Amino acid sequence: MKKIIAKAGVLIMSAVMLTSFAGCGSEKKVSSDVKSGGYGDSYPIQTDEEVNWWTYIDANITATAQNLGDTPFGKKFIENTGVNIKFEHPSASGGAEQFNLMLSSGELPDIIDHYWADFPGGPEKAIKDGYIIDLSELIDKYAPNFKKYMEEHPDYKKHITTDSGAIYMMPYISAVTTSGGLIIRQDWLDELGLDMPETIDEWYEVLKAFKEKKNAIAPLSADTYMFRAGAISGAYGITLDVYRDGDVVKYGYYEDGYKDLLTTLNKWYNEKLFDNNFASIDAQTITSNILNGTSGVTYGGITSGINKFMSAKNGDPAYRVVAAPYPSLNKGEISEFGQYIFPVTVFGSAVSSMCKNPELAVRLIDYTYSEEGINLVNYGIEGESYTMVDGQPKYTDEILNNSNGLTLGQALSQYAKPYNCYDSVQLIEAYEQTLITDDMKNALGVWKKHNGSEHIVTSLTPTEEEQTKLAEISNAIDTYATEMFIKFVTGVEPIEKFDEYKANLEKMGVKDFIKIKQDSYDRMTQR
Amino acid sequence: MQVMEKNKAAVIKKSNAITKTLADIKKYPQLYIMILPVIVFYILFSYRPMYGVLMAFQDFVPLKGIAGSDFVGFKHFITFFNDIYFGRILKNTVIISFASIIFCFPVPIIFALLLNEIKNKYIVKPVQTISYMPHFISMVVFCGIIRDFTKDTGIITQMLSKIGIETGTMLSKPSLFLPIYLISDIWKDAGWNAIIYMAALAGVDQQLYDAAKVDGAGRWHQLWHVTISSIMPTIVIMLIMRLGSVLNVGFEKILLLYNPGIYETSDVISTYVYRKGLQEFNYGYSTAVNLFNSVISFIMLIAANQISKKTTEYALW
Repeated sequence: MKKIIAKAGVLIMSAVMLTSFAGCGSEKKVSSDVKSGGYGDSYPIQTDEEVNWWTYIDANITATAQNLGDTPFGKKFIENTGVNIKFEHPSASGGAEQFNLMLSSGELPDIIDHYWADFPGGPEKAIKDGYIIDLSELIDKYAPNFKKYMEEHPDYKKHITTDSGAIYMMPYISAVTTSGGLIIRQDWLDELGLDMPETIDEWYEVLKAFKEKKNAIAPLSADTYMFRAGAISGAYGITLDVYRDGDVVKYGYYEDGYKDLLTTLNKWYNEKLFDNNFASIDAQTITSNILNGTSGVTYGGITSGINKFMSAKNGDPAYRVVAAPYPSLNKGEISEFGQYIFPVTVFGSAVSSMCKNPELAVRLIDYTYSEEGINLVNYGIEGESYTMVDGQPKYTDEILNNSNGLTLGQALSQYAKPYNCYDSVQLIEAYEQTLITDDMKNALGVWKKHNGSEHIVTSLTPTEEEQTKLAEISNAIDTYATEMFIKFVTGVEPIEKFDEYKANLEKMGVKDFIKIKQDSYDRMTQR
Repeated sequence: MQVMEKNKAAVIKKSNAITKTLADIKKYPQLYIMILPVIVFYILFSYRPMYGVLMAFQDFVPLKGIAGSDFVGFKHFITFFNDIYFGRILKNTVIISFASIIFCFPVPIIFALLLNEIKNKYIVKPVQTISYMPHFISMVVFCGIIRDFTKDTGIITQMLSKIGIETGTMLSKPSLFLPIYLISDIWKDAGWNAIIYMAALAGVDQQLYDAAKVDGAGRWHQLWHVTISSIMPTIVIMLIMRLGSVLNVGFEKILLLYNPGIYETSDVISTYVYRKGLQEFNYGYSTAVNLFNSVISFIMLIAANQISKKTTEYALW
């Protein structure tokens, strides 16, 4: 009895902890009569106020510091902006959970970095539930740099605006549109005298050769993310996500091309060409597979894939992994889908509803869009991480070949914030300098060849009514679709049941689901 | 008249209880001071937060608090009961729970009885220590081991294939999830759970065995009529407590072991709520489902206790 009560108590207790602070969340209204440029027009800002900034840090940063404020970058940032910033970070592994906890704790920091565009229920809900505030007026008055940038790119604004006209974040602008794709063991291809595969049939032959002649237990080892990015699925004209053909929104799991994809994958699975553990595989296993010869092909990024494998290889001097093009169905075609990062990313900095001084917060974020700020984020500190060569910033040797054994990412992350950035603008010139080998440089061009940019659906903000409907059906549809994907591939369900599967999806309301996405998309284009 | 008498009696009884307690407190103040922190603990952390269950009837938004969030009545319960997966997750939860009571619950008892029969303590101690060691492996590591052993190239899969059983990656076969769950549960916790029975066995009066021997009881008779009878109260109490948490199956373990391909047999209430409720910030919904869980558990606990009281005369209260 006591045990039960104690258990129930713990459950409920956590609920109450969430609520008991709620009283503190009195609404902060932005006074609109503050004179333009209340904090001046230049940096450093003259203030002694403190700003709490919640942001994620990655392993590149934690290799040298536990807090962004302790890195040379953080110190320089604070010095240049003149604002006393206290950075708060979730632990590297439990970011999403800690974000949830932070929101429900009722004590919000001033600035919150997050992938706000993907906020459950949409960014509109984040504003309505009182987590973050509408920035449109503030940006107008206090963010001249950001405003200028958005005016130069008029088509970007609709991607950070909700249907009701609120701007919910200041986003990270990506210069690189594709940085991931299939990665293959080039040394195996050379050894077996095979050409780089392009079509699905050629891929089949290559995987088979890897299996039979190189004794790869699972020639293709990856998790299901690759099919959402468009690798292999792109050959069949679909991706396992919501996308559009022209202006018609579609759902890959409900398309006919999906059946062909399943047939192929099932065949590959049965012949053990596709990793039989794909349903529960983790990144570490994939890495060790590709390093120890269990697999010859995987899906990955340039730095997080090619560079990682090349620097972790040991023993075998011939070992070489390169980027492989996104497969197509017929020779000479290019894949309909592939990883495509929309320049206005889902990542951004938002100002919380409990921010003591929203003007200052916006002023502070705006720094990252100033010329000096962009430079600091991309190149770091002159004399430390870069020097000017012929009028162009170039990374120093200390960054490219660190004497303390740090990787490029770790070394650079001390002085700049090239990865995991939530505001500012990425410079392609800076990014290309981080591609230190020819294979890394080539990867950009190889992976770029796909039509993914024409299918991207982003920045949808469902209405409240649509949101209620989505909450009812999308989880059921998603659960069923991912479950059946694995069952069809493993053969637990025969492919003959595909029509039955589609009928079940209809019963779950997949048509309503697509219609809501279509309506949201139509509204987005008209913003 | 009679009713009045009765009421009067009750009042007297009540005031008696109060005066008696006060007298008792005066007599043994130290004991009452010692129990005070415990009472405060339960009031503060178990009873005071209970008004939080109100969230189950709200579209709860943390920043608005319980006072500020909109009441929606039984909406979350209706959504939950109408969910197309409701039947499946309830079925899985009950099956996994009862299967572990049937298969996992008796193992520590049998194990303890077997150990009890070995009189050589140089064997008993090491065996006991080794058997409860796996309990201390963290769940994440433990599930990693299971996943590794049961993948298509894993050691267990390979051993089975040597004797002619081809399973492939076990954790992608819906039918194999329950056996994997149960067997690994036994491996991890049987030794640990046996400790309480070992303790109960140590307390059995040696004279009972002597008396049984005099009466001509063989080993089996001694085991049945002396040993098991003596530890029966412990077994019953453990069983009642187990039934009380019948819907709380190993959430952590399932979350770490399952994948969408085997939701059919592995998705349980808690994992579903985790995906649907917490990842989508739907606090009201999660609370509603947990409240449902608690109510069922509470009913099970009381029922088990009553049944046990009637049939075996052992009960928690």
